[in-house]
Amino acid sequence: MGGEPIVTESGRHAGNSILQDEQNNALALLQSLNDEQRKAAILGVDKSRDFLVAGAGHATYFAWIGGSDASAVFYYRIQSPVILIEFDHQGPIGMQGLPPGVLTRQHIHTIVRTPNGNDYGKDLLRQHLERHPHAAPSLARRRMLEGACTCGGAMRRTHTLLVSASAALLALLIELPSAAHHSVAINFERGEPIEVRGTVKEAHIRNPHSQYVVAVPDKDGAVTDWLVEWSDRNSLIRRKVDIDLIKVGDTVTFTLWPSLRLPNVGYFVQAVLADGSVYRDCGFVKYREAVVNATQFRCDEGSRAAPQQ
Amino acid sequence: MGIGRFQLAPLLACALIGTASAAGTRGDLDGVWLFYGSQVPKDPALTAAGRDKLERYDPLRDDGDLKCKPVSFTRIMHTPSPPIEIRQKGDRVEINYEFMDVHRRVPLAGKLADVPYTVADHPHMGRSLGRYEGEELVVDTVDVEAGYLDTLGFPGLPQSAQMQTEERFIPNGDRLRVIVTHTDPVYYTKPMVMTYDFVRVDTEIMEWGCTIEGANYDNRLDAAKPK
Repeated sequence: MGGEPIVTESGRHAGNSILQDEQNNALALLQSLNDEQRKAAILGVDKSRDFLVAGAGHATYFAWIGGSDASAVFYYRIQSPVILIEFDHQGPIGMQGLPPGVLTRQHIHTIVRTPNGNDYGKDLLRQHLERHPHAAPSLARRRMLEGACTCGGAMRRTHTLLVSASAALLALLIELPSAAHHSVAINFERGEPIEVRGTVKEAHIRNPHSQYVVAVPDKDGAVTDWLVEWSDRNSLIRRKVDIDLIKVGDTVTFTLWPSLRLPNVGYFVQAVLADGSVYRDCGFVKYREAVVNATQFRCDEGSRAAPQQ
Repeated sequence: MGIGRFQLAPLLACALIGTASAAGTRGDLDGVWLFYGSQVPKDPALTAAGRDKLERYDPLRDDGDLKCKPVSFTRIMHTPSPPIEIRQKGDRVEINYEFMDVHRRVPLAGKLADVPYTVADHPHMGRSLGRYEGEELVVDTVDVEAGYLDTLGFPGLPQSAQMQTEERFIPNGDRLRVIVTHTDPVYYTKPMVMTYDFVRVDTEIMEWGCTIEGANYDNRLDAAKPK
């Protein structure tokens, strides 16, 4: 797991941060070592590139690469036969104003593995959900789950540890309108999503914007058409989203960022289909990260309807 | 054995060709590239006229996307998802932007004021002329239509018809950096420099196929009343 930025500096979630304990406690541990211990633990002070090896050893070690002052960027590993913990400050990929390739405390990657059992490869949560489908959650629960975006099995279990994650993590895992391609997106309120439930009247997956038109009844039965905007068609295809999953006539609950300018308009965050399954686009940020790191891009929630938690 | 007059000419020609090739060594720019990061100035240093035009920007009226109009190359490069494709030909460089199906042709010889519009079906994007400096491709652009330069990084940044732009394409293996310098005395007090970073991707440019109906939400935005 990881994130960028690490500290949210503006907006309604200003001040939120993630991975600070993991960063600061390790630094305090290093600073508490005597000279002899430091000599053994510090493998090098040149932390000019990314690390993370995800290997396993035969004893318990604490290893460090990088500086040790309060603002240093560094890598550390705690490694034993039963657990591997890695923490790595890396270069920025999305924040403006940060020089590319220069490591920063605003971009952190971590790995936790328990190779003797319950390792993330087993994906216990997925197995559990396949055996015991959960009912559709409350909106509050759903919002919480957005902080724990289940984008890819390997990430799922670790993200549930971050249900109080900041908007920084949310930004990493879900495509924000700011990452959308057009300026109308600047008019969406990204802080607090809303939920509308209705019948899909039109479904247009196209460029430069995809749209659904949804007939939403109120408590008195009066129906209002909502316009749900989504990413462009080409991007959805590249990100392996099943663009035909929502069809005209389906009853769908959309979670949206509402337009600041126009009534009854919102930007797609996720959809809960009639059977309770969740549908979402894991987003450009995740896709870009996979491309930059030359790893396989996965977005189960886009390729099929995932079980609702 | 001496070199005769008619033997010397082809040798001299070969030497000249070799010199030109060395001076114009083309970098490894060919391929498809995906945007992954940018640096834009925090203060665009607008003139009073620039601030006035920025304040009057209305995305529902001025956003070119709603009209299937690619407003500027800066705007296109700042679009995160659709990739760009670069193909270096003998006398030109072809840059194809998936966003809005922009097919740009940049000649490598001629006078900037006389070369054809760089995008045949979008003359508002001006005229471009390219050259190589070492492995870097440098593209100068003039004769753009007055309007708005970029609607994403800085929504509503203006551009005048006097704006001159230099794009410097700097290859580095599977990474590409494009440094863009806009010089516009009407709206900016100093040159504005933006940096865009790309990564080479194994994909092909797809058709964008923008339609007015799709771009303007089937006219629903026009019908909607602002909150």
